[in-house]
Amino acid sequence: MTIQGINLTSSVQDPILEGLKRGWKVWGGSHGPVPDLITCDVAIVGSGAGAGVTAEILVRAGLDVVMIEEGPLRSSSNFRQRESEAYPQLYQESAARKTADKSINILQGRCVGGSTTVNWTSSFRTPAGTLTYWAEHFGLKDWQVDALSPYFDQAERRLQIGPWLTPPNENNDLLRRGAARLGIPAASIARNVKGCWNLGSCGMGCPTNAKQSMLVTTIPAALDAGARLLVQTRADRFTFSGGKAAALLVHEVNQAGALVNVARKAIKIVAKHYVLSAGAINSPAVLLRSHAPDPHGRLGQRTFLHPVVMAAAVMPQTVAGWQGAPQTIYTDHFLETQPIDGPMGYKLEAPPLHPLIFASTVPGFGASQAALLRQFPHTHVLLALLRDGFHEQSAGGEVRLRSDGSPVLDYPLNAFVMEGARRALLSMAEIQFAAGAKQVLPIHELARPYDTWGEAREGILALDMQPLWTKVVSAHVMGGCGMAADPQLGVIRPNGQHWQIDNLSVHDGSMFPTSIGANPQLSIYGMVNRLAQDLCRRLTGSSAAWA
Amino acid sequence: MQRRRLLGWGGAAVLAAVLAGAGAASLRPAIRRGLLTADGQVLVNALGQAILQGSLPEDNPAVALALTGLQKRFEELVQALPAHTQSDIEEMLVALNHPAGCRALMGHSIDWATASPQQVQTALTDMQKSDWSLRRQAYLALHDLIGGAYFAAPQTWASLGYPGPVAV
Repeated sequence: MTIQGINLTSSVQDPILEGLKRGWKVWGGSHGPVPDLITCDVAIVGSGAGAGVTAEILVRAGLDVVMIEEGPLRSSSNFRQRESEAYPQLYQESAARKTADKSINILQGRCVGGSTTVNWTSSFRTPAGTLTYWAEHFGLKDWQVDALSPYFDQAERRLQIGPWLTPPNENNDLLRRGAARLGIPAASIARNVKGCWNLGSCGMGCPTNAKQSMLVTTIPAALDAGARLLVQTRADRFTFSGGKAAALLVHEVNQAGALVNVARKAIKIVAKHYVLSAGAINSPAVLLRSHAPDPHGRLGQRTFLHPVVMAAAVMPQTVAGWQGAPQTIYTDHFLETQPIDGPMGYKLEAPPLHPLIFASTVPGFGASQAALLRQFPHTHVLLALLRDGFHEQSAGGEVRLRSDGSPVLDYPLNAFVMEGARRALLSMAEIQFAAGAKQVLPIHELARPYDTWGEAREGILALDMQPLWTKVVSAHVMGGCGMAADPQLGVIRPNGQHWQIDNLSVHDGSMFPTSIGANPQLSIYGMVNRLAQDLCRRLTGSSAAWA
Repeated sequence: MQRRRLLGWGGAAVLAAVLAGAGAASLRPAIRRGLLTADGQVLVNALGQAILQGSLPEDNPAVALALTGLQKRFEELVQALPAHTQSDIEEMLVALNHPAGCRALMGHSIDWATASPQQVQTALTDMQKSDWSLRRQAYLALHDLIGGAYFAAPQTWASLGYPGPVAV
């Protein structure tokens, strides 16, 4: 049954509802109150990419695992492909999380499965150049391509990551065609899907369970094996004793993140080992609230975003950017044609388009904006992910705490970053005109639609690239608990263990000492796979492979 | 509205000083715990007619219905935000609802009950192009809140040529 295109009933089986019927141990939100005291072998904060992989591996080894997730447990029955439902339910701060000066909008998941529930499935192994830089600058000499390869192999097998053989949608094919006409190499993006319906709604939660997110893979496997899951429960802080974490204090929260019961004392979780997998921003924030030792001032520092700028083109033909798998074509030409530690390079991709986010992205208002919005079916959008963290002028941002203890990322968009952003706008416009665009609009408050490449080039070169005029967004938050072989350079050791707290590890994107230079989900899966297997050996004395 | 809270809004110290000079007693909330006050409804209507001109329906009864829906979804959108963001929005709207605050934030005094869409658009253009980052922050917040609240509704999608999601 459908009303205005909205399905009210789904024909798809829901593995989460089935698991709950089987007796999964889930508390919080509508699943019942969380007990005052919980004990376990390992407490994992989060349920996204790092948490899911860690949980499955540790549970297989017979460890008693508890996962703590701030967001709700939602599943395919809830995923109705509506932005107005998805953003408040599934994203941090209702998809409106912003940096301190409000110049960058950050998309991060906040639900069971974390960002893997709402990402666009793009899967890349960590680029060799990034790993080489980590070895040279952070002493991570054991984190090279050959050493990581088996862990990526396992991740790809477990999560069905492989080539996407369906022809790209028009929004992506325009990138392929435009780049080809300019002699720029472009390629297909591998995806973590099984039986994908090619709907294009990945960002609102996969309604068919085709996306092999943590929600439908590792988390159900861990719960089936006896793990416990606390939802709508926020990790507040650790208590420490004798150089170890003694307890984790958590609170039940509602959909908007407010405490359910302000009078209730913190819930106490006592574990032998703790794993922080709350994502960059939230993982450092838990440690900051805990006043965790930070003798070298590294905590929360060097947080990276792959700052994204965009260009919208009007094509003569229908593009229907909402339809079909998002981000299936990319080009790394502008990453590979300059040194990694030189001027900022960028990766180009074609994102999905949906009405609410489109209306928020198109600059201006009134009749001029309405005219742009009416071109929605003909609109093609490219985005550029700027590779940050490899240059002295690209130190990223710093996670801080507000007076209420909530985290905020201060990420200055300095001249170095904005120079990269200008080059990216130029590259995207040139490709879009080469693909046949009638008009190209760089997403900038002071730009106008340009009718020719020459006009666009002149216009973009003249733009004042200031924050809050240049539209900048991010969906890849990395760093803040950086890994390094030297305690003066990082928060965690190369085995994921905190440098100063023995029974605490960090297993998520916050461990990256720079940005990845590619969509990071597979980097997290592969690297956390290695960390979790190592942790398993330390805790149990036996090994447990993932897949 | 306490001056202490106004200072919590990023970079709002100047605005806080203007409003403190005006006297806290003269400040009237536009949204309280996620619900628009009568003043807030007037403000959102005026902003909606300016920002959404060209996207709103053309006949009067349909416009009124669309604006009522906008108010409701504006409230829903704000209610879903974390406390610190709700506070920012409350402070921004209370400032816009006060002559001195509106002058500080928009560079114009606006009587929201009688202002034409063109008057509001002139003020929005000045905010958008302002060298003062606080004004640009506020402009972008209004742009995203009004646009986001309006186009969240399936009834508005036809104006974008968007057919809605495929049934599963």
